[in-house]
Amino acid sequence: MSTDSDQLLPDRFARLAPKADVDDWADVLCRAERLGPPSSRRAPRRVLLVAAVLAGLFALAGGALALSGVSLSGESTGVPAIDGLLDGATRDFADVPPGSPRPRFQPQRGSVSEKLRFQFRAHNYTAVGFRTRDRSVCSALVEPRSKRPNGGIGCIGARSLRRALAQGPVHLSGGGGGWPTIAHGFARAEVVGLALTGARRDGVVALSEPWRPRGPDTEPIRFFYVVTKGEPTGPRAPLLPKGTRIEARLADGSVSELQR
Amino acid sequence: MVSPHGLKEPPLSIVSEAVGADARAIEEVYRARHEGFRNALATVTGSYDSAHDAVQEGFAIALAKRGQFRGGSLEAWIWRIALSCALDGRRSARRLALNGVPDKLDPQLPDPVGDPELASAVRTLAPRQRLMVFLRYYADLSYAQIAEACGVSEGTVAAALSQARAVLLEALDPEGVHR
Repeated sequence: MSTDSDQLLPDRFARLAPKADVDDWADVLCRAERLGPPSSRRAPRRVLLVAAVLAGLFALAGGALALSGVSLSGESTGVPAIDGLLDGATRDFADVPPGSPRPRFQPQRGSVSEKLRFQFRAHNYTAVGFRTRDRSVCSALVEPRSKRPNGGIGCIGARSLRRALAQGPVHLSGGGGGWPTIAHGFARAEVVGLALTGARRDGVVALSEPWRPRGPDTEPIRFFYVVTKGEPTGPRAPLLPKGTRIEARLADGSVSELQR
Repeated sequence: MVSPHGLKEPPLSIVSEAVGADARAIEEVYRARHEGFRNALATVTGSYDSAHDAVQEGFAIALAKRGQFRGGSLEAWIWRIALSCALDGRRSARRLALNGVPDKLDPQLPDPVGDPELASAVRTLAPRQRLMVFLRYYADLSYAQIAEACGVSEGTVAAALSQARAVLLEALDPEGVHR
């Protein structure tokens, strides 16, 4: 399966922009000189105190909401940290100008999968798959017990996903680098196992049980996560460490390899 | 994920000092990012020339005001200043550096005829989502830096970019050749 979608967008954007001058830092220095010497300003102590009190109140309110496990709108995923993540992402787009599309990340009723739980290097992760109201199929992942909970959402258009899974049993749809590097994707229900092969096998591949994000009468699919130790990031960074491949075992015993 | 799924972004390439920024660090950011910043700002100003001017002015203000930097991502801080220069001029640049990104921003590709298909696909995104796309693919900022530059959470950035990517690929690659 060809899977170089990550390169398509950076390439298209890069082609549009003319090259900039290599070295005109001296011009910046001249402009800075005209602005005068470096200055420092500290916020008055009273302002800082009020800000701290307000931040505390907001944190308490947010924590209570998260603990309640209730999503602000849409169906709860059953994972308060993921509900908070989805609500936060949706709320941040609440103020778009009239007429603009407003992304909504909350699940459509009845579309949420069973929880997928896995561990990587003493970190516990919980993920769910779901379909959003604007017909994207998504998965969301959190590390709920972390002192500094992190999480993320990955989505793909339902039509694109259907097409991708018609071409091959596994579709690696996105991810990000850092520590750890986490890639995510979707697979046909007939995929019963995923494994890392090639250069780096020290990661974890977690495959969900089949679920039907598009409704009870539709084909079931699975979602999965691949967690590896970490690689450089950026728009052009690969989703899997160099030389690493994903091997899919199908229900009929055959094996299919996805290479990135 | 936090990159759409990178749970934790890597350490930022340029990390601030606790209070105040080092002039050399600002220069390093300039050398590494000025082209990306210019390209991203051109989506706000409408031309690469005016964007270049805003980038230079933004970095000059960052140098002059580096004592006001309070930590976090230096790139994000400078971006906010440069963005403000692009929008309103120097006076509000100082204000914006503290207050975040204005809501009315409506960035567009500066040269839509260069790639009408991409321009049209980008126009279908919400303005703030568009800005995040430009910061990612033009300015090459990390999710954490975009989050700080836009005043939202990393999860929001990840979600917005993931959905934007799905929308753009749907429009640009309808046959799924690149998927």
